[in-house]
Amino acid sequence: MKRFQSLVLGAALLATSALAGCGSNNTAATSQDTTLTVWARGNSVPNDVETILAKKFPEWTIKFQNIPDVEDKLRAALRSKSGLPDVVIMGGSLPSFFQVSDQFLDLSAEAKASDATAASLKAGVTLDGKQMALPTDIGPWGLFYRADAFEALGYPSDPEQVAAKLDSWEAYSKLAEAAAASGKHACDTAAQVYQARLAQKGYAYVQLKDGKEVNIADSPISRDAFLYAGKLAKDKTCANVKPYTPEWNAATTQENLIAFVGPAWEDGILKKAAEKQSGAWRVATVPGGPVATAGSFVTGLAASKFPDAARQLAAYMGGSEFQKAGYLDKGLFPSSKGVFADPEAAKPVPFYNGQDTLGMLAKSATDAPSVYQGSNSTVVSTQFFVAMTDIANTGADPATVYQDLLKTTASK
Amino acid sequence: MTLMTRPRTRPSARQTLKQRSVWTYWREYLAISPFFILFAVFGLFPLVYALYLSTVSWDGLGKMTPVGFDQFIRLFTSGEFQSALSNTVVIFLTAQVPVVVAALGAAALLSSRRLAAKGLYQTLFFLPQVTSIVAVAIVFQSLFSNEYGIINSGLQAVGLDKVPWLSTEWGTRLVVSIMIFWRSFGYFVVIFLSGMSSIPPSLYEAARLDGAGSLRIFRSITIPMIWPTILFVAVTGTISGFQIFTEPQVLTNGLGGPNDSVVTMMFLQVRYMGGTTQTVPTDLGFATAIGWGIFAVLILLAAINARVMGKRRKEAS
Amino acid sequence: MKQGRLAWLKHLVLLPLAGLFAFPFYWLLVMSTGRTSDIFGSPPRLIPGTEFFANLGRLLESVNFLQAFANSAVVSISATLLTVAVAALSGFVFATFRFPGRNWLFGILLATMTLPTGVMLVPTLQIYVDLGWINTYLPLLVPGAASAFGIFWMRQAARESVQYEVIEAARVDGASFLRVFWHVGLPALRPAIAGFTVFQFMWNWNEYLWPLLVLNDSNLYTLPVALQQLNGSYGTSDYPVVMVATLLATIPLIVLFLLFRRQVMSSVNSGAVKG
Repeated sequence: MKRFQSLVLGAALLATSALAGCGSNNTAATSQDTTLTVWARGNSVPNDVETILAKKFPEWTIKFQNIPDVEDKLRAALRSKSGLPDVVIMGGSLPSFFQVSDQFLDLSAEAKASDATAASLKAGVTLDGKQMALPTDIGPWGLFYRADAFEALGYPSDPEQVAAKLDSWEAYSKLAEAAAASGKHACDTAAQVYQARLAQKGYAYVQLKDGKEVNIADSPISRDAFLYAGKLAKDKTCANVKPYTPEWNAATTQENLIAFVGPAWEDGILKKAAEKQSGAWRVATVPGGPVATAGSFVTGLAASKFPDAARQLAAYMGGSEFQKAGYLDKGLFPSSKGVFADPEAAKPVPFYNGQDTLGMLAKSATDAPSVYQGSNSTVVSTQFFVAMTDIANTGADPATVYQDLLKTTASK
Repeated sequence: MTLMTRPRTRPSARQTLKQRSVWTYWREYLAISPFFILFAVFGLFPLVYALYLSTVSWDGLGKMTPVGFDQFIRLFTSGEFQSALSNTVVIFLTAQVPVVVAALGAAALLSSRRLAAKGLYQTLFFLPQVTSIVAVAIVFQSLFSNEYGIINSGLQAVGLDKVPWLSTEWGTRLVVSIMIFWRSFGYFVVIFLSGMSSIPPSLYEAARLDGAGSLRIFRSITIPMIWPTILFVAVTGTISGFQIFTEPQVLTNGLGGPNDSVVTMMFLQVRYMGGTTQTVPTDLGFATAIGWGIFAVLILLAAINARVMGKRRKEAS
Repeated sequence: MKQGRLAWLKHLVLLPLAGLFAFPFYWLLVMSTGRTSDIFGSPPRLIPGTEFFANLGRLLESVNFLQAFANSAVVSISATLLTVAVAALSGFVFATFRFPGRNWLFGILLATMTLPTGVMLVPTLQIYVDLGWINTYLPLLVPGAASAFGIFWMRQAARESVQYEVIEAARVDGASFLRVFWHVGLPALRPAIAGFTVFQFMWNWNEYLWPLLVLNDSNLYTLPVALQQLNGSYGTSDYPVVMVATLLATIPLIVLFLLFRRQVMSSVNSGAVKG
């Protein structure tokens, strides 16, 4: 009994001393030295980001904070208007910040000087035409496939020839059906195919009219794409596995998935899951034309004490030098055309049997149409995505599902 | 019951209560003050704010739009809350209730002095509690995947049909229930075990000498003696069971399963707060209204709970 | 003889059950020692591999694991001790002392457990900002110091195990308020305190949202926030590293449980009667 009590006492002492020592010292900038804080997910910047920035801007003090779920944190900081950084790199939910674009710096001048692809630059422009963000990485889409599996199905294995043979979605359907007949799958989920077809037409459920968003959820583009992909789902032609899930990894590792259309960043999961299939995979252009979706963006905060420095820093992080390091370290697909031409980056990749995938996908990135993302585009897109998964699971009729969906989506 | 040796009423206390001035109880009030002080500082203002928030429509970033009682009208008419409530009830009945009952039985087994290797069992049952939810999600998805799942492979290997676990409404609910059972079993076992350690071993020995069987001892000694703990588990288990969220969220990658079959009330709230995969536009106003809806359901349940448990208590003693 | 057969039967029930409960943890162990392609292969690998240290190396390369581990330890230990101390004292007083308004106050305390706390995120963060608590550990320690759940538990435990005669005797002897708590309350509450400590520590240890929102400096990050850094915008690609990280993060919880298990289990009454 006594032992328990002395344990309690000791613990209490420990807690008091810990409490006393844990207040953090918030060192405020006392001098007029330029001090900038950068927020970003560690995985959307190069490995030694601090060294790179310190080398580039030796006269400034740049504090880099590696922040997971940076969008949530930024939203909370904007609400309480405190602890805001000077520069942020964030992911796909950029359009949801457009309505508070006055809290961000205008990067128009920096955008003019940027060598990023046209579509990716446009994705950082708000409704009222303000360049709120610059792209730091993007997602050009490719048809990832296994050369040996294609040959077994009587298809060519060379990317150029594959692209020529699979030049339309109808041709892709035939391939997917042939693969399914042989017990394999040439698409992961029909929802990805549907999304590719929308992006290919620069469509994201909204349209800009006189500086206002107009809902165009009910559109022939979406309808055609939905019915097309819906058939793949209903007939169980696709593997019905979503990227970034254990199922997708299992389908890939177990060599069930022999091809899929997806954005460049899925190269990261593919290389891990298909580690033992190194050399078998290739990338070709997506059937029906180039596709690219938005990746990450860098923005400056209007609340920054050093707005000019923040703009310069944002411009640098959206530029070719920084993006090249990101591509080489983490495979972040650059938006800067300068990197596409860089021989250090555009080089043979062993996993793809020596194919220059950067050069291949860069063409898609440059030629893809720009997609105007409205503030609700992601939400509506997810609803269609879920519906497509439901079709695959239940075998429901795509046309009926589509009509039902319009009831909720066409009014928003 | 003669076995209840301790007086539970304190007659002398009631008399003194009337005679003394309130200030003479300052020690008692001081001892319980931290909760009320902290609640006043960190709970009251947010609560008032939450009342206000339920009268607006707000995506959490832009401008708030005052909407009056629209959010509550929406709560009652849109059908989303009702279906979330029924999902919650189903999951509560198929997961939370069985796990509490099973944990009570297991705790009785594990507290018996003669059982060999009980430390090992206690530890193994506790493991799910500490296993990170990220890992748990991966394991469960890998186990129950339709095409690539270990369980379906096993079923096929012995010549049975595959079960569409995660692609049907009831399959998904079942897996969620299994996951909850699996995760919270050790938690309830520990709580019951801590209650059972207050039972004097001499009581058991006396009963055994009287020739009472294990079941009879469980009913006549264990249950009455740990009744306060059972009450505690009933109340907190109901509250947490009706706020279930994590398991459906991680199992369905934040989407809610086929036809939103595992969207619980809390899931719905978090969905409107923008905290799950976004299938609806964020509206903190509606999320708050859902929060008040959950509050109303819990208060109702607490009242029912108090009645039922009060009656049981009288029967038991 | 009958006793022996019964024990055998108990093991027959318990053993397979325990296996089922331990399996996901075992698989976590296996996953942390393999490569992504082992985890998802067919059939899945069921025996530990040899990649543990390679995975560990990648983890230490990408995340400041040791710093975050130390931070988590400091925060979780302090927060847990505070919460448990307050809960034990308040719960004991609620259970064994009578004072005007006791039942009302306790009813209010219970009712707060049902309040919609999820939506209080926005105003609560504002309070922390106004108090200047951003980028400190105070939001992780102070508001949670008094837990309604914990006080409730301790109250119920005290009603079971504290014997009224003992308190009366102590008071007659002139023992002070705190002495009664120290000599009667603490020993009687020992199993409940041990159990609550294990859970409270675990909840503090796993807390993600508030550390993410209030801590700006990566050097102050707690373990869950640091581990979330392993993921990209779209999800996990390197499963084994995540598995190693979660496995290491689990070790303190298991150690704590093993240390406290006996306290949860051992009978209190023999001691409490003697005072």
